[in-house]
Amino acid sequence: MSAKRNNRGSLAEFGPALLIFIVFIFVPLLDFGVLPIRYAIAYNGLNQFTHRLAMAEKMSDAEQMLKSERSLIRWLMSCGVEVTQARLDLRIVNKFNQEKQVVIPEPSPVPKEWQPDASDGPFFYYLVLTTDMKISPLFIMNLPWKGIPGLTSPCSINMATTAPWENLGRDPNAQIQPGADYPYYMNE
Amino acid sequence: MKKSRRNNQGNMFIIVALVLGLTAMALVVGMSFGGLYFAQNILQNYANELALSGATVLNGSDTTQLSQGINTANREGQMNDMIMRTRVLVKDSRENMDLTDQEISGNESFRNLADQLLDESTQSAKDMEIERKKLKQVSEQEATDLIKNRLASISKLNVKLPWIQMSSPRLFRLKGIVFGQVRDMQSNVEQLSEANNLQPEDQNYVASNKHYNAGANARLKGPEGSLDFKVSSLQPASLNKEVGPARLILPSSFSRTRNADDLSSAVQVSLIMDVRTTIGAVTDHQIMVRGIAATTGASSIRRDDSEFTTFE
Repeated sequence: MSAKRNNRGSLAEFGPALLIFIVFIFVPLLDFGVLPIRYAIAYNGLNQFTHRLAMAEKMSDAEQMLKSERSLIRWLMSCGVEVTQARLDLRIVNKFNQEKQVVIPEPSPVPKEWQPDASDGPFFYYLVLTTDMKISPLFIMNLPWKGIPGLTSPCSINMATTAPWENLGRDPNAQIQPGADYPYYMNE
Repeated sequence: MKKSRRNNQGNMFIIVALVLGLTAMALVVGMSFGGLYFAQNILQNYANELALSGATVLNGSDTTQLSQGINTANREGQMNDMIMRTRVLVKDSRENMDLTDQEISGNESFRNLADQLLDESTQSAKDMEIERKKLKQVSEQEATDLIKNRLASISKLNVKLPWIQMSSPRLFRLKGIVFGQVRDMQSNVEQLSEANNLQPEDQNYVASNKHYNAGANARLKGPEGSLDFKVSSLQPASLNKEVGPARLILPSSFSRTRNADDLSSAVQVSLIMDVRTTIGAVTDHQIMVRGIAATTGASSIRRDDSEFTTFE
């Protein structure tokens, strides 16, 4: 008789237990599990985009691409990643002394001492795309109080992706004084 | 009663099996998509590497040749320079000839000398055109050979995993290797502003930055009008003896050369790879990527007018 009661009880307890399991363990686990996947999607998307920006002919072209190409932003949005802000920087690193480096926010001219023909060179030039974004969990709950980031509300993340700047040549279409050299494409 | 007990005990087993099955399916789908992404990334890197190596060879900066003591660097830049200098030479020779006819027509030896100079310069222009066409063939052939050799060495990579199989990358059959130039890039040759009797004729061939337009046939007016003077697109040199390195460019910056026989300064490599997912739904995909690169810039020094002496 006792065994019979136990069996019935286990069946009756299974429903609420499953509900508790789903609400308090399974859903939060899914929420937390989805965050790194969305982070990886955002990182790979932005990394590829940075490589494309770094292949632009001029720095102004790269900035224009950043403003005009919204397809990646829309795609990330559909994946639960909202890009709130993005900016471009040029990081210049000395080839032989990597501690000697400078970050120049775009659009700003590159100082003469950091240009490819400077005496302290050679340098590596990296285009850095820094983005502020909000990554949503799988299930967002609209609670009256402030939600828990990553569990009930999106969590804010700052991401920087880097690619080597490709065009180290000089712009022959720039207006120059007679006898002067053309400016670098990166130095607009 | 016995039957009922057996059913109750099986409930958990069914749910666990269902959850495990769903998790396994999600894993397989995730691995397949991850594999496709991985394959696409690998292929893109290969295409970029091949395009960059091919583009570097176009203007003759092949390190293999340099190690053998053959310096072919800036061959396209030098060809452009020589073509336009030959043009000036032909123009000067024609003017000397006309001047001799007008002012010292009685002096046969001067007449013969002017005639000989004109013949030599005209022949030089014809030779330059032949050499230019040869250079196009040689540079594109060398770039094609290098790309194919490198591809052969990386083609040994065959990925065969239980959930995904990737074939060796191969060149796209129709347009595997396409030669061209950077869009709107003029030639490296700058118009001479002083001692230049060609300025009126140059108006149609020179861009606003004083560089000769790529692909234009800067023919002379007059009896030498049949001679071809074609220069190709190339990143100009700087005063500081720098050379713009070969670089990857965007597809929107790539264009075919204006004429079929113009020298190429960029190359597009299209690779294709078969990818087969084998667990769950069996699917066959073909991934195609393009890598595009521009060759090195010219390395000659841009001359200012002070380097030339005008003889009156």
